[in-house]
Amino acid sequence: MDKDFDLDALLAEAAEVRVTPSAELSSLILRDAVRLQPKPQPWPQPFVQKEEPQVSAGGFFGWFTAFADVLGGGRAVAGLSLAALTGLYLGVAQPNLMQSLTFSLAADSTVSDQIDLLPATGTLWTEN
Amino acid sequence: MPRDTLDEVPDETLLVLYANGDPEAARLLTSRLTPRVLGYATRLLSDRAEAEDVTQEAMLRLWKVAPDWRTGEAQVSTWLYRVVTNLCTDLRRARGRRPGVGLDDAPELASAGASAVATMIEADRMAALNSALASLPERQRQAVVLRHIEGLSNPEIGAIMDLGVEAVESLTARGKRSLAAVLAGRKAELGYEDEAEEGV
Repeated sequence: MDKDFDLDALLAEAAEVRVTPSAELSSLILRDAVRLQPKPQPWPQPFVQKEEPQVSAGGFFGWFTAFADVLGGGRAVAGLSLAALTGLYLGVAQPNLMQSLTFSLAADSTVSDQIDLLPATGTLWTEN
Repeated sequence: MPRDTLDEVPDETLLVLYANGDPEAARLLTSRLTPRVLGYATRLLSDRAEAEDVTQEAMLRLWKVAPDWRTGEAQVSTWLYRVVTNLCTDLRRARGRRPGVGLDDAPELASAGASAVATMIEADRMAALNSALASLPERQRQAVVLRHIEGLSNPEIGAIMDLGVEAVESLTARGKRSLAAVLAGRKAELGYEDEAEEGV
């Protein structure tokens, strides 16, 4: 190192010098920053399940609606009702069609084989 | 985000905030990084107008890379120094000249409270230093400025200049020897000759 000056001190002095950007340069840089800045993304909205609208009914209809819900809804109740009425009709009215249908099916059937599980034992008691 | 809460936030975090649309992050990054980038570019180019162009371009590239910035891979300042180094190299090659340095190109001094004479001596000294720096080979100048004026470590300089640590050390040592040799003939500009004469 040169005897007359200290290079390290000079460089340290230079390191202390702060370069100040002009206002114009700063504004140009900021303008670029604003122009290129990505738009903020909205936060994803939480999924909210839509609630089924509640049917408010009072009195008998309210009770019936609740009952129908227990059974599975209006369609299920309608199906059950139809089945019940059909069964009642067949049981009480006994339509001729059912009787003739049952008779025709039963008459055509013949017993092709018969197994006697309890053979007659009366002959064992007969004295010859 | 309020500015007070961002003052202590690292540059990298500010860049992520910028990429997420925080306008205050852009302002803070500009005020933090622009003086350093401009100072470095001015010392490499010895031309204030060219240094301002390089600074604007480097910052523009920073804004562009922000959405794709991979955190933890590099420091923002190191990345910027690398960009400025390359831009300055390209600029000087494109113009095919060595820089000329005048007093007007010396960085503006911001030391408060100094007397007018002291400020002038300091300005002359800095101008002489910048002139001497400009006379160095490009890579030596970059290494000396990064190490002794910008205060970066040798590994950081290696990352900026694509060199190993030993190569950086060698480059810096050679640069300093060359700088000392150039400045030895300019003691008057450095304000040492008068002091030496007064001392005799």
